[in-house]
Amino acid sequence: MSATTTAAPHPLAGLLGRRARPAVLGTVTAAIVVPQVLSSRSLLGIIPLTGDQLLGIGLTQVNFALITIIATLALNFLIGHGYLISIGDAALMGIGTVAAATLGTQAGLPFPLVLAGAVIAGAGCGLLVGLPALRVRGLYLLLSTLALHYIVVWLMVRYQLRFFGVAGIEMPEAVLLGWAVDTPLRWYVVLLVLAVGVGLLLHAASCSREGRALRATKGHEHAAASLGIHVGRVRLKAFTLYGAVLGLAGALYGYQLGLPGSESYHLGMAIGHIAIIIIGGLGSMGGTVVAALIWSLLPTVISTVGRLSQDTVPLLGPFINRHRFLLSDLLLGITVIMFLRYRPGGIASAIGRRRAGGGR
Amino acid sequence: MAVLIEILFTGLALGSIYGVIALGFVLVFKATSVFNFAQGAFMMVGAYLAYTATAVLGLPAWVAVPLVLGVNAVIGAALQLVVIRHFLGRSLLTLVMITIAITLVVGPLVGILYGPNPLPLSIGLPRESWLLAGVRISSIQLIQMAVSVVVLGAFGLYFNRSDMGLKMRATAESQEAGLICGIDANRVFAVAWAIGLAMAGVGGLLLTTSLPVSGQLEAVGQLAFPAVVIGGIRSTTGAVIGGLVVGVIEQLGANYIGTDSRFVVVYVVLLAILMVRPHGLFGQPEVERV
Repeated sequence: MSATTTAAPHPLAGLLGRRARPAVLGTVTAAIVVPQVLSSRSLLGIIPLTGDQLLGIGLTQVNFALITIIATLALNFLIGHGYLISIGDAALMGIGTVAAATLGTQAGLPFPLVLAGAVIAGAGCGLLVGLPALRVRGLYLLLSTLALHYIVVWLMVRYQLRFFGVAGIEMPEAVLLGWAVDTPLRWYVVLLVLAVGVGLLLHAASCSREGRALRATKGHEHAAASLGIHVGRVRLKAFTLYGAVLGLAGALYGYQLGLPGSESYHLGMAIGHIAIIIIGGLGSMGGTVVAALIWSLLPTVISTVGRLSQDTVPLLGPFINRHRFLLSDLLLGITVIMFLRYRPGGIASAIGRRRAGGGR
Repeated sequence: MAVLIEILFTGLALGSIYGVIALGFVLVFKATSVFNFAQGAFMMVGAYLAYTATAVLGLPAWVAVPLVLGVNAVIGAALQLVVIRHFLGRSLLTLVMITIAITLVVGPLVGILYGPNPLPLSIGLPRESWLLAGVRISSIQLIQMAVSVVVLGAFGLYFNRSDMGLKMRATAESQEAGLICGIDANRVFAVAWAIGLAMAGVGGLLLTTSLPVSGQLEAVGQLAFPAVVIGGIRSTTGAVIGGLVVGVIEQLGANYIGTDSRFVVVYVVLLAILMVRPHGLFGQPEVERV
């Protein structure tokens, strides 16, 4: 790599540039302001806020959103750069959870090793999921990941009933070098660090030689092959990286759920992740983060709005409250259709247009 | 032996329903290249509409059934004319996601209108069963098979003999050549969607003879995907055979491995087919140019 890309800037050099400002700003805000506001439930510790004023959003919801961000960044890498459409997110996350539970509760490994094990298990399964990509592409690849989803969930049910119970899979305690990760705030710190790390890793991967090769295979597979790119190998690498990150996300998801059951790894989650990529904009990390936040937090917001408006707003209030879960699905479905129709490039292109002064 | 025959018979009866759903699906795919993930959802819509027509409006079955299929067909045509039309020719991800998004809209709408509980549906079909040489055969299974055969036959006639069927086949073959011959592609697409969803409705009605009306139907309807892929995604014969294969595999799995394994065996077979023969049993491999 060093011999051929001496002219190319270091992949992380862009972090100091102008384009990276929103990312850095967002990370700093997330690191300082969010935990401050949500854990003390006040602005700067002076102006108190009630849970309702925060729209019912607490650190727990934000933590789940961070896990979704980690997972969708990886999916965005796979779809955005390789156009390899996978609907296997929930299955791979299930693998991560199972690996973490096995290594933590049954082998008694410490927390960092549990996460590492989940990453390795996820990477291995990602490689397996990617194998059909050597043979099929497009729609057929999507369907083979769909098949894998059902197979993994079936295995997970068996595993859960055999080693744990109906209630769910027991997760080990998370202790990081003697520091017990047991409160939402502590989890928030861990998750934020991991999310930023995953973001940097994926950014570096997409800037690397392999990343460029992956983008070359996206549009013109045969043309890429004629340039000397080993299409199958590049795709398998992309799937392995995707699987590794999803494995990590799965382990973290398991910890957040506490007692994860196989029903928490449903197809709807995988579909939601693809929808996030579309709303965010293919290949855009910033867009993915924003869309993942919206997608994860909207149900909570609608629930809160429903609860608050139940007694104050006639007809509409009770309606929202009664159907709060269905309404958030409905709203998200309509959002996806609207984006596909009017902003196919997602949030990223909507912002890009404004910056460029309407043209582009 | 009698048990095996009984399982196979149940599988074929169920499989003929999947065949109908899958055929509607293949028709839409052939015409518009849209992989309609919402087929299962509209099957469920058909079942709920039937509930409204019979239990709420109190219509007799011979009025309710055509009404339901008609409404489903109108929904299909409207969907094409209002929504899908704008997305034709766009990328695969868009085409996949638009129909998934439609299921995200349809599911909650049905939930808001009908509530979460399964509803009983009776369109007054005879429920008897006979023991024939040790094999139990129910009237419901015979009806399921008979209706499927009639629907498939009618479709075959329409698709291969009628004027509109000819236009559909021509457009599926080459949209541009069809346009040159004066075929209104938009109309063909709308008719394809209408028939596709009407067939989903038929499937939904047939399934409610053995299942209650609930959101569960959507998951069952999704078995149309393995059916079409096993048969070959652009093949009408393949869709019917694929449906039968899926029905039989599902019943074999349910009886010999366990009821909770009935879906997973189908997907294992799907995966195997995708690895060995991605274009399906009756499909042709797609030729690709750089």
